Amino acid sequence: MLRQIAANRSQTLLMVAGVALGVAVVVAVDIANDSASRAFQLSTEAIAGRATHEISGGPTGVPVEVYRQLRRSGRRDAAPVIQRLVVVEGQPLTLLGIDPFADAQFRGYTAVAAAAASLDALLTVPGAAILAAATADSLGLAVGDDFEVVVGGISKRLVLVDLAEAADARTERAVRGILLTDIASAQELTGRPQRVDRIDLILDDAAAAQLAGETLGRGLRLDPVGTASGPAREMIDAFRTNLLALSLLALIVGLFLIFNTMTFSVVRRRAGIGTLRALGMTAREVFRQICIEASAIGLVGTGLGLLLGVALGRGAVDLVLTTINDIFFPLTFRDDSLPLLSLAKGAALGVGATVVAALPAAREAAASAPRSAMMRSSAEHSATRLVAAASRIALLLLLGGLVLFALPTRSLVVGFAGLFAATLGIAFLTPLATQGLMSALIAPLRSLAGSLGAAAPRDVSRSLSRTATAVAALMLAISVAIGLQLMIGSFRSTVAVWLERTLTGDVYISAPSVGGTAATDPLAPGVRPALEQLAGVRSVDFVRSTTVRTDLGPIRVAASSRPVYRGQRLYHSLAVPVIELSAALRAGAVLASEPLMNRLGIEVGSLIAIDGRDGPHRAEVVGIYYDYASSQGTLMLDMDFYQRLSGDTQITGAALHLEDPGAAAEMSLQVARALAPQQALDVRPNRALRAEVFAVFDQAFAITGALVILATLVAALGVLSALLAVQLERGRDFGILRAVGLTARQSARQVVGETMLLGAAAGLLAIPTGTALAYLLIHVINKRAFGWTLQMTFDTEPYLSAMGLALGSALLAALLPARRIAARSPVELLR
Amino acid sequence: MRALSLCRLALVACALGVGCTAEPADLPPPPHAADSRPGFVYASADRPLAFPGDYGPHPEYQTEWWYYTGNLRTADQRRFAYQLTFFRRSLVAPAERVERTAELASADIYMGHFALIDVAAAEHRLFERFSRGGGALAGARSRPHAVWLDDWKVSADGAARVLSAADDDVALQLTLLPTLGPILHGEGGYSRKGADPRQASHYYTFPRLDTRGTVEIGGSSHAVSGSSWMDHEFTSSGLGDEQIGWDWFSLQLSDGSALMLFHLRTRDGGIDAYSSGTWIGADGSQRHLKRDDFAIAVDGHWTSPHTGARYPAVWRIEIPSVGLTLDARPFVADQEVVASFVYWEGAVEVTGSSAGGPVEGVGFVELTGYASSMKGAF
Repeated sequence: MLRQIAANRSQTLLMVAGVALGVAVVVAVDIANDSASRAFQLSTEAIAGRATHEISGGPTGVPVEVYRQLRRSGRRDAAPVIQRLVVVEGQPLTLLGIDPFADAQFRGYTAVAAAAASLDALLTVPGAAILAAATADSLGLAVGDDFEVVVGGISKRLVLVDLAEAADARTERAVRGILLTDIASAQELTGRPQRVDRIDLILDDAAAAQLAGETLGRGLRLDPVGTASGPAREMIDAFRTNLLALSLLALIVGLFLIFNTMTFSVVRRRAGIGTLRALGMTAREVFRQICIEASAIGLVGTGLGLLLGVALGRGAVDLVLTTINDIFFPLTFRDDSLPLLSLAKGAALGVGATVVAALPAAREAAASAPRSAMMRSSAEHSATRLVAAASRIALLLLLGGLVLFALPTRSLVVGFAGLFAATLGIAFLTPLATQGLMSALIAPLRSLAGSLGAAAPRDVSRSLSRTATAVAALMLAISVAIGLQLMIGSFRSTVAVWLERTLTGDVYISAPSVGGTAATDPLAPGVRPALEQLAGVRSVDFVRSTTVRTDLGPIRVAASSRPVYRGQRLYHSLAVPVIELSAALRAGAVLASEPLMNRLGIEVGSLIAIDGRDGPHRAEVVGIYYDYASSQGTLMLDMDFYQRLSGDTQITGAALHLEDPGAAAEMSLQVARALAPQQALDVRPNRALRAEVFAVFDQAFAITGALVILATLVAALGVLSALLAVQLERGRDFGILRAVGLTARQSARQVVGETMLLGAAAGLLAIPTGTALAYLLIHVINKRAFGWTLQMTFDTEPYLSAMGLALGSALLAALLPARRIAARSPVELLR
Repeated sequence: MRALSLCRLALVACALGVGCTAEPADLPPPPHAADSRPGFVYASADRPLAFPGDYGPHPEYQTEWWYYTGNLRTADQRRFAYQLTFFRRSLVAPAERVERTAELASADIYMGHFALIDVAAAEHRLFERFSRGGGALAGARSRPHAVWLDDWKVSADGAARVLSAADDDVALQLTLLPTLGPILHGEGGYSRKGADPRQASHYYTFPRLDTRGTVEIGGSSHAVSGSSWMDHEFTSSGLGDEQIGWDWFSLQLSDGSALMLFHLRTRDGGIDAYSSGTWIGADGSQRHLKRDDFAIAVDGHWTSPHTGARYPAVWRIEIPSVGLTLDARPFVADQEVVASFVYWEGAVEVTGSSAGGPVEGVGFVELTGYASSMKGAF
């Protein structure tokens, strides 16, 4: 058996490599996904601690009075919290203002930190702060140093009173991203001396219901923990689902590859097996031998694959964490422990899939009579059966996919399931399609290159039992590449059009946001009058971005001083003519963005109860507009109305319309300089803002691209392995052809030609498949994940590069067999 | 006097669940005796006490406490006793305080100890709390008098004081009506504790408060009546270098008189010269007792299974000048307060003779510095 493996060294190497790559990709993606998930969970848990519920009060926070009443009524499992993203020396940190006397039961590490510090100083020195020793170190700070922190663009001075010495690694990680202060210092830092951001509570459901009933109201809400951080979590979940889908794709491609490899090893050795059977080996022994061989290859390949997967995974973790950190949520945790579960999954997959993939081949070899096993024609017979069987499976899968898409649900998982079913269905159609394509090519190729030309598609068709899986795998990988590129391209061009319509200002001003989250930090009070008095400015629009409480849960709002003006937005649907929108909004109606419509199931005419200072206001949705700024959705309000409703008069952004739009860059510098004494602001000309949007966009899709490349690599290797096997086996055929006069050069060209035909088949089949995939990604998956309607745009580039990829990998796969066949004499080949 | 037990609010860290083992060496420099933190006002014989103003807080002094203890009985003579104590500690001297805009900013922290002793069940239930003074989460005021920490509170209802406290399955709701006092200890409330005249406190007592109300424990509620004792003391100093702890007594006798005594124990096993007491007659007359005016002999000990500390457990008290001989013993042996700092604070019963006639009574005893030296702890 081992001799068998050793005797076909190159073949075996390819098989091992195939298994290894398949396992590696799955393990790498799994590690990255798992790590991202844990990092997010730990980072949010560290801050939420053991709280089960929280009281929050919308944009203006929660009055201290509410906390006092809770304590005075004997509710001691309550702790006030102020939590902000701040920047120290360019490093984003979470400012966590807590009451050390109340916080220990929520966040153990705050107690550790407070105990480490001189509690007296923490409580009595305004701006006293504690940092993890490692964080202070990286900032170059020592105890007693004062340092600058930027809170919502306004710089304040803090003094480091102590370092948090963590008792264990978990605590150390929790504290590392946190700037801890007393709650009173945090009140002063955030400029809200009578308020806190929220009150954390530990409640059972009964107590929660009672508390919600008895003490709350007037714009305050009691929610289970996580509701507020919900949007970030949902976005990350969608992101992770996408990653998971890609890792499943890698898995499927890997499975194809392994299956393909094993089938080949059996088909190749058909003659040998026949001989063994003729010599008296029983069917059971043959079966066992092939299974053992498969296990050996599976084990070695899996071992290598795990090593490679861990190495790749480390890189992928960086990529994923950076993406989440920059776009969704600041992660303070990073867990580099080796995820045993991922390794176990990879191992089970590698060994299991290899053996399972070998089973049909082993059964077939064992079942056939000794004599017929030596003949190839029986294998080709079963290839015809294979085409029919695969086509039946394809039909079932495609039907299943259609049913899944037709289900009235917004579930992303169901969407992906449908997508997989459809994609696999098309993959199973590959043998039939290849056959059709080849018969269609016989005539044109004959007229082009004579009988040799016509022989190539015939040979390809005949060897389908060995090439179908390889072509299908390559087709699958390439169609995914086409689909994703089309989707990303459509996405990008839709966003570009939307930006064009939406970013009508010349200069945009906001407080710097941390970690890529939308700017909700207010502009300093003096900024608004300063902007209104600027020379060279035609008009200024202001916006307040924040989150309000509604009967449908927390919703992001944009209260704009000019929510509607001619030609600005693209509307999905409207209840009133565009010219009446402004008046409707001034009277308290609202506009909803498309993702909000999809997420909440609202439509034009729906009523949303928005919490105001005097109770809820039932706002009518008079229009749905297209918006790609938030996948959670936004409510657009008139600013005057919002201020009357909420009492919140802060603004978070401004847009300048200049008399001379050409002077935007210059004006930005001037504004930033003029306002610097009040607040460090992001002042960006229209063009720079647009560039930033695209930078974030591209980063979000970087990992997707990396995974597509990996999957394609796996598929290309599959093709290489399959074609190599086919061509090696066909040595005898070429021996005959060479004996009857075919030159070495001609036979090499024949090998390359046949292989290129296979590649071309995969590439051609990938074009409709990839396009269908893009359509599904855009109209089903994206819509479910983000609620966005994207205009599908077609670009030739993805098709061209896919075709190039298909032919390139085929060419690569053809080179070695072609050289071998050309280099040997007919006698050698015949032997 | 228990005064001094305020001590280690700085140990708050322990209460934060950190599980530290309060080594005195870990603590901030002790504000003890004369070299306390600068900027605080020291107790002085020149400062007379005035009411109701002095019922409230004194932020210019570093530490302060309001101490309620009492012995209670149900109609069928089931005995309970309680302790409800509020400690205030200033973190910053008045001169060093900066103007803060934050409502939750605080220059004071408060600690509360609440204990209920169920004599029949020999059970001592203790709860400890901390809070900042800021945001009025905890605090005190003079008019109308109130002191509170979360939902533990004492409030004035005319001359009466209403106490309420609850935690877990233990609760207390009592109305206290003073029949004597306020009694000013030492010289007009200036109570000397050491050689340095600043080593002293301002100290007054309501030695007898008729008490009615309910106690709850283990899910059942009991109507109770009895007698309470209230101390209020404020100071900016702690124990002297040679002092390691104290034994303090507050006793209410059946003839209507009452007694406050304390022994300051010294490092060499002796009794400090500044130990003192006050005898209070049924008519409110009072007599200051110096170190040599009384004797306290220990007739038995109890060793704590919780901390291993060995406490005196039976006492004979003799005050020849008022013809008083008393034997005091705890209702329950284990009334040790195992909290941020460890002491024994328990209800005792008293028998003996006064001017030749038999007398009995109840009271509270506080024993500090047995689990570890109190010196350096504050």
